[in-house]
Amino acid sequence: MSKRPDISDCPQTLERLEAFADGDLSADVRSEVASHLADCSNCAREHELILAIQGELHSLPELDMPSAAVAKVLEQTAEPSWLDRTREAIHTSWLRPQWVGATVAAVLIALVGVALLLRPAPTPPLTTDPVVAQAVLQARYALALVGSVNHRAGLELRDEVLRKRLVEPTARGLTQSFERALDSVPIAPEATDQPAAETTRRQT
Amino acid sequence: MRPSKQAMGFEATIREHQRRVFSYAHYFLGNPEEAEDVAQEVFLRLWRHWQSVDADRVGSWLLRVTRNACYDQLRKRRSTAKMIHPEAGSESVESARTNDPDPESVAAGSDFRRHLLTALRRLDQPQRSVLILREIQGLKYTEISDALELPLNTVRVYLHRGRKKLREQLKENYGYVETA
Repeated sequence: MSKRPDISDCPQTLERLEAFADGDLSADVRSEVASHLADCSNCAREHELILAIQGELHSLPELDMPSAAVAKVLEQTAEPSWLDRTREAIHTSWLRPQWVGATVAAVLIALVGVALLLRPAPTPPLTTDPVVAQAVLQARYALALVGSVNHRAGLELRDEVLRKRLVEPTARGLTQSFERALDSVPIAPEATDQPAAETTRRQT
Repeated sequence: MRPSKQAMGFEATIREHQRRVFSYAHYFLGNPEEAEDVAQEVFLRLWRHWQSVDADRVGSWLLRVTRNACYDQLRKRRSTAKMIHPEAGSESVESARTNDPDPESVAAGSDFRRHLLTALRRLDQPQRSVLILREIQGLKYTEISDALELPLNTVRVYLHRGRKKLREQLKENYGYVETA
């Protein structure tokens, strides 16, 4: 005849069942629980369920990560080759093609600018004989006009005054532009055919 | 080109820990494809933090990151499901991606195993993580404490609660009162 279980022990036993299944109880307490389980079907069923759950969970396998997934991670974390690193460095550095182009253009512009600034002053164009001849003619005309005006105004101009105060300063001004050619142009006016150069003296 | 020591060390670490990381994600989420995505993300995060992770504690670090990545995946799952079925409750959303039987329970031909795993995925956190790490992956209490950043006694409490909840679910939902 089976012994009637002490149901007052059930709550305490139920609380101890997990530790009992884990083997975490002292020998004395373990013995008490075992004794109660032998006589109490309710607690025994609960103990069986605890063991079944534990056993099933313990038997579940640890699963391997699919090899394709591992390969994908390794591929994404692979170190780039020397060539790829160099390409990346060029792409992200100031040596980018568009920056190279801009830099080269800027340097060329600077060089052209410096060349322009440093070039020697342009040599004035050499005067040609026709140009000099025309300038002399114009100067003589101007002198003749001055002489005519003086004559009408009744002014007397001596040759020296005309030469010193008009002809020579005018010639010096022309010399700046026609330097070489004027060396051969006589400064003193011709005697006969230029009315402004006549050395007449009017009696007052 | 020969891989650097860093690259070789990283690959060796993946080989050593891939099973634990993937299994944790798999039993947590109950979906192999999501578990694969999580595991990849975890190891990519490890690569990004490779220089700062303590080599002696990389196992704990990986489990912690796996847990967080699983949380992210659950949130993503919930928001996707709500977009499709706005009226769905949280439980149906939670189990939306896990209705298919697990490969291992199908292979084992065990209703008990299938019911057990469904009940496991219905557990709240962190009981679910503690049960997976302790009962399936066999970690010690100190290892679980370190990985989940929980005090040791708290780990024991959560384990007890998780086991109790599992039994209640099996009894209520599947009528288990005796061994299968």
